[in-house]
Amino acid sequence: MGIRENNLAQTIKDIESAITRDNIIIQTVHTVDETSKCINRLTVCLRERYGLYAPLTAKLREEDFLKRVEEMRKEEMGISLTKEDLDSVKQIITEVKNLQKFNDNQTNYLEKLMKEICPNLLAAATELIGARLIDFAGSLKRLAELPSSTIQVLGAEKALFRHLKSKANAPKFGIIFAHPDITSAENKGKAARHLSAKISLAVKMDYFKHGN
Amino acid sequence: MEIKGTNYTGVFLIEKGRKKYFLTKNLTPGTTFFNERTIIENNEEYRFFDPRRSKLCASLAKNIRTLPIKKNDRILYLGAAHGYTPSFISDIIGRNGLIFCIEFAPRVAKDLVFVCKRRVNMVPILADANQPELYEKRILESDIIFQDIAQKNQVQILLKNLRFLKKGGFVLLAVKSKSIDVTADPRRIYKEIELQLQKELKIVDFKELDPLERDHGFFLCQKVK
Repeated sequence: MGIRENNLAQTIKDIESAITRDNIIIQTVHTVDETSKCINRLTVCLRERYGLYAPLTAKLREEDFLKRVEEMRKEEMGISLTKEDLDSVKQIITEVKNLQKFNDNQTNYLEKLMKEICPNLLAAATELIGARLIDFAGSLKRLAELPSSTIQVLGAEKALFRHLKSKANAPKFGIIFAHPDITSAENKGKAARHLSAKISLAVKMDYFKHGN
Repeated sequence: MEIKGTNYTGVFLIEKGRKKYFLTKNLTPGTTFFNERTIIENNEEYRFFDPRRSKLCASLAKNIRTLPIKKNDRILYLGAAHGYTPSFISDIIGRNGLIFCIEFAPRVAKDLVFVCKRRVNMVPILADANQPELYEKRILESDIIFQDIAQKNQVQILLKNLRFLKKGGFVLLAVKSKSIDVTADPRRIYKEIELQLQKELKIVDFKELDPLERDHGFFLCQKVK
């Protein structure tokens, strides 16, 4: 029967052309987010483990901790560890540092990708938030078609539906909350509204400039 | 375990105490695509049909009046996704049947193509069920339309596609009330849909699929006009 083979061939062709470069952005940001999670969890393990030996250093903040941790000096209240114990702790440290390097590389790659595909979105929303927005919308095209009010609450679906169903307050921001302009703003709701308006403009420019 | 026939053509049953398991005869013995359990009896391989993964099977578990799908039928399946339910329908209709699977999302359509390549009666089509004019030349008139699309205008989509249905053919429609209106009571939505459908079709049966599929309903209708 010809109808089956024709359709099969056509569908395979359609699927190939349906996958665009913004799919790479979505997959890359998934990688970055997963690695960040990994790093956080491993750092918690490292803190606990190293805290047995050097409680004071283990309480330091993120960057200071990772700098000081390599000194491997026993502190007050810490128990003494054998060389084997310390070696296994060292292994975690190298792994965390490797992961961090990997994550930085991936983030740089993501930035490069976005510079190529959606430079305005990158400028308005930073690489991670911009990429997450594309991920939530599904594609650059879908994001370009969203109103700014939706962009504002993307990622806050739970709160949004709670608001629609009951009398709870509407969410003010979703994933754009992590943007430096919002975290530093005094009136966060207002900043979120403005930022989402600008993002919506930027992404429309990115998508439609090629005459799509 | 004893495999029994059911009132539904092509569907078999195993009873274990109070539990019921639905089965179909595997069209591609030795190969499964969805990690489903299989069982071999009298040199025939049967696949387990999971009512929590398929709304069609859920409707069978809920004792729907009849299953109009017969051997050698031609079927239009709207919203095929990975092809889980279509693969079981393809078991029922057999080698000489034909099932057109319309799916809009490229990512899941990829998985669908893998299934369709192995099953000689399945045809994948990447298209939007909202725009039947874009794929009308690629399909044939069908005995049955099965629709499982979680969209706000799911009833309108069905009505648009009715022109591909033969007179006397059946419609199996799975409705997700939450995509029509999250805030409304599902019963009220089923009522509204019933009124809309009655204009074009004769409603044979309706089942709510809770608790197998939350807030889903299943309509069985016939095209009489």
